[in-house]
Amino acid sequence: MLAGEQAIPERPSLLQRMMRANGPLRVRLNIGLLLLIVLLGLLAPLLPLHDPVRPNPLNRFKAPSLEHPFGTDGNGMDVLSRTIHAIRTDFALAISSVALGIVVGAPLGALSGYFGGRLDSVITRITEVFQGFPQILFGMAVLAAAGNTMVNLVLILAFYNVPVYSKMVRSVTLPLREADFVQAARVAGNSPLSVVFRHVLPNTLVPVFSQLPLSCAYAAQMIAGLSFIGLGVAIPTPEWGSMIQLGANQLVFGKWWASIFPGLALFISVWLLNNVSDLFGSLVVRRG
Amino acid sequence: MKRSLLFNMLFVLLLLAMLPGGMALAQEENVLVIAIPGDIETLDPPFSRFQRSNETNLNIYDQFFRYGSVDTGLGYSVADTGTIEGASVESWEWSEDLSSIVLNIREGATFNKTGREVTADDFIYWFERAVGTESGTLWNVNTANIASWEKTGPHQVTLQFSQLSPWLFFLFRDQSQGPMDAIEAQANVADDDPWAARWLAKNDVGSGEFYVESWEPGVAMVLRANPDYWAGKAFFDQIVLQVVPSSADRALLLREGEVDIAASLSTDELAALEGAEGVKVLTVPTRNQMIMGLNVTEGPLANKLVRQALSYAVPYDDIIEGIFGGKAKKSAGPVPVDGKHHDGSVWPYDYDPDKARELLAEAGYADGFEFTLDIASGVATTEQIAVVLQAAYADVGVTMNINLQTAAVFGEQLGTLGHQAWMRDLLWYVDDPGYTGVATFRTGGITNWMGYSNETIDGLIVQMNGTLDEELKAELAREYQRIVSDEAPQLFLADMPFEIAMRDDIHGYVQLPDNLLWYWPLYRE
Amino acid sequence: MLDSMREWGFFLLRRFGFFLIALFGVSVITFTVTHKIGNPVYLLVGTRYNQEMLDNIRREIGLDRPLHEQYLRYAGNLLQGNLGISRFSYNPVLEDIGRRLPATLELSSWALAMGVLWAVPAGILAALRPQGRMARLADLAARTGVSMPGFWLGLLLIFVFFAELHWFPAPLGRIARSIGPPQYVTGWYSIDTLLAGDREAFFSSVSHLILPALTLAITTSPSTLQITRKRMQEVLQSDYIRSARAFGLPGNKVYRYALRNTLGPVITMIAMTYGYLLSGTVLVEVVFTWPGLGLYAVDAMNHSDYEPIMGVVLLSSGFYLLVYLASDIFNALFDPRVRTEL
Repeated sequence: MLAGEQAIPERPSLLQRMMRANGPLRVRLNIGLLLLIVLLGLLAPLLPLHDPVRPNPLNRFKAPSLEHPFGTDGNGMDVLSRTIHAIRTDFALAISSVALGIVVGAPLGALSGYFGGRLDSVITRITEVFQGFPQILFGMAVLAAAGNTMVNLVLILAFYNVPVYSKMVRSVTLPLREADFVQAARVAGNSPLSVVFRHVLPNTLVPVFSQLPLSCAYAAQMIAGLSFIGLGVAIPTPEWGSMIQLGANQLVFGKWWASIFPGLALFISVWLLNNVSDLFGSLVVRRG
Repeated sequence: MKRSLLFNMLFVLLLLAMLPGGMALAQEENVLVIAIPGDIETLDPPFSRFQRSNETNLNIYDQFFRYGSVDTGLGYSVADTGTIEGASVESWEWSEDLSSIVLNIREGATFNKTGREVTADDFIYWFERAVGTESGTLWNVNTANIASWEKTGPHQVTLQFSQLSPWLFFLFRDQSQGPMDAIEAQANVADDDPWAARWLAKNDVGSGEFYVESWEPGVAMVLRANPDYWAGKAFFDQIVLQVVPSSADRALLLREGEVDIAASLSTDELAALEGAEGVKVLTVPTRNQMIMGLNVTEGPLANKLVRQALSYAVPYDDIIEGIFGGKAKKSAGPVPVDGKHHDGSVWPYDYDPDKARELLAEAGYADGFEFTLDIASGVATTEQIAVVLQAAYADVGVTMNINLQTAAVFGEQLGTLGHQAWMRDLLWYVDDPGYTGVATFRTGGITNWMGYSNETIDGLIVQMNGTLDEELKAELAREYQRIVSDEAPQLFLADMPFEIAMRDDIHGYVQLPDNLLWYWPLYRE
Repeated sequence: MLDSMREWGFFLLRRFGFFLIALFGVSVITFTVTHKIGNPVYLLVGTRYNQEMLDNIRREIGLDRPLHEQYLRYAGNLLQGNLGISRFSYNPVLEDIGRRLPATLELSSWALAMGVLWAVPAGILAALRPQGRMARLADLAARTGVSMPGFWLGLLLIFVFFAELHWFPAPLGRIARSIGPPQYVTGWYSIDTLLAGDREAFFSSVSHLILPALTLAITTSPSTLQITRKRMQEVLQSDYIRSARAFGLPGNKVYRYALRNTLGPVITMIAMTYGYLLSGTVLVEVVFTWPGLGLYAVDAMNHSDYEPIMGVVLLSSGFYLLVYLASDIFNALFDPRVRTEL
């Protein structure tokens, strides 16, 4: 046993702690449903669904039926199949943009918090500027100027996530500066950078992961919002925002299914992500 | 207390005074409200490039000539391109060898905003401005083979031609071809803007059927009828052009009776309106073709066999039945099926995926290839066709990516051959294969957005335009259609009708060959 | 006294300095997008051009100059209020923005008012009875609101209340077309119609406002609700309140005190929400064809015209930073600790 480490009783698993804090039903329901959605997305190509991008011009805007439980859209594509396949698109885009944001933001925050001083205040101020940025508008401008591609979309969303994570990691790092194990590592002759990356950063993982679903929820909303005005995702890729847009024109004429179902899927996914984030959050608060 | 009583009384009096007056006024005025998709880009006709400003300019400037019209008996009239009538030019006289023409300008016509009389000076200024600004009008002047212009009287201008000018009348009825108040324009030049292009973009100086009464950019433009128009004042005193960006919203407004006409609706919205109470949808056959152009200068698309394969892989009937609701016609070559000298017998293509695969194999692309189709965003029909093509091409092993661009970028890249493939509708408002040939299939033609070049075709086009012998022209046109169909630099996907939806008490609609809406003949009954 | 003056002086100076730095940062970003990522030359030149015209325009707008010079020129223009000219309306961007700002301000103010009117009382009630039915309801509503994509909620409301029930007018702008806009006083139709004394126009204006404002209120108020609830709970559990209660201070006095202490963060959050709303209305404006800044920016985007978008970006981030600054100063008035913080 190393110096400074204490014998701790068997720690309950994350899930157990979560259930203790929130009640088992809530945890099971939220995490279970979210996993179900992710699973649906992953298995979509194997499920007995219509081809999500197969148009049928002779079968456009058909109301929900046994053959097409969610109806068909303006291209005669099956809305159910597209809604499920869109999970892949939206989740992949959301997760990759958040991951990119973490990869850049977390080290920045750790450096800023660990070294403090001028670097710290500069990084803090920059993150504040970004947080006040009109994100949808700015996304529109950049996509219009730099090219309307999925990669650019991910980059922009990552750009928004950088300050979120650098700020969070910084706030976690600040108290860690004086923590025993960090000081020990420092005394042991590790270089400052290696202290930050080996000892400080790993300890910020829990708060980062508790923030992750929330960021994904937000990113999913942004992706759908930008797609709704025709940005980011090429047609006819199944994606909730562009599906809502495609159906929106016919909504006022009573053909509601092409817009309502994908919107519902987006809403439920974001809802679950937010709830799961709360569940994680309850852990962090208890810990602190 | 006292003050508030007084105020209230005044207020009531004011209301009483306003109400009957206002109502009486509203009853006297005939107002036509049109929902349009976007704002008018410019009021300067030579710089007008888009349908919205083309339409406004057609109605506020008085063009040189106009077409007569014939009643179809189906509730609307169509322009008769065989009958040319004078507009701002009242009459004309060709020289015997057709090398020059004398234009007699209508006397007594005045400019709407200043009340000045329209004279030969305004016409000369118009020609000079075309040259000075190098604008779209210059293309019309050059294409009409006009070598020079000269004022030969206070109300007379004489034009000299460099060679036979078969399209003078067709070109000089365009929205860009109408006199503008030269004195007013010159009064508004700037040091860096000698042709007042900035000022004229926002101010109208025409002598047309209407003039701009007010304009709130992005919201609405209000036109008022010219009370002294030479052919008589229009029925509608006021035309309100209300900007409603979403096509579904425009359709909705029409259905609710909030507007009288909804412009640019998709086939889905038109279908939703058909049968709605108080609404009528006019479906007019036109020479409008939905076209996919291929950049023939590089890559697999430079291979004729590949282009033929793509032509065989189009599910023509599905597009016509499914997307156009059976209202379009199957295209058969570069001359629209309702166009002059059309010959469908030289058109080889039908939906035949096996043949397409064979041709691809023969071209060395048995495993397919990948290309990108650019289309302008916001046009539902184009997007739907693109999606259908994408699936049909996937069936024969070809991957087609669809790239949506803004209309501005899409348009700019057409001219620079920036697209690998593009799709849009093209409306042949001059009904002459020689004209479309010059514009589109001749080497370097202004709408030759394929980079297509073929000496035989170039020769055929010159021959077609050098003859007045219609029989010979028909023969030349057949060969022209055969070669263009065979070489397939463009895919002809459908001959589309023009559809417009309006309240059923609006009458007098005249279909112009460029699908612009002419407000003057419309009336309410 | 003198110390506190100096403290204030430094605080204000520091805050204002940061405000300026932030503004500078924003302008650098917008500069990068307009000048480096996009190529303004092609936007200015139109469709018919040659190399000579391209070169002329490059020179004219100074693209051949060193980067810092280009930026100074850009920033100089901004300071003079020159945001460029819109390619599709042919107006100076600033003029267009001025014309459309009232529509967005009106919509976001209504949305804010509607949101605050339910979120603050709901938050307080939820804090008073954390396990009560009201608390659960508030929680559910907040969760729903925060998870709801605004543009989709707008469509949903349109479908139900316009297309099916016909309770509200078609989602087309700010007032019935047949009535037309009122005499311009404030630019807010709901106020101008009142000033004009036109009942019909007023009702029309309000009926056009309700659905979009409701959409925004539902999606932006949850944060206000949460913070009210959280802060109120904290205050109620604070030692001071507990001891005040223990000493038998009457209930309403306790609550009044608790409320006053809750106010600061709540006001900050409301201010932030307002700052966000100015740009957060974009998609809802599109859905309801609301002729404000958001729709203007989207129109501009559809014309590949990004100077207007950048104008709106600058304006709304400036607005946000200003609100941020104001709420900082406001907080410093009540909490001296803030003054000595960075």
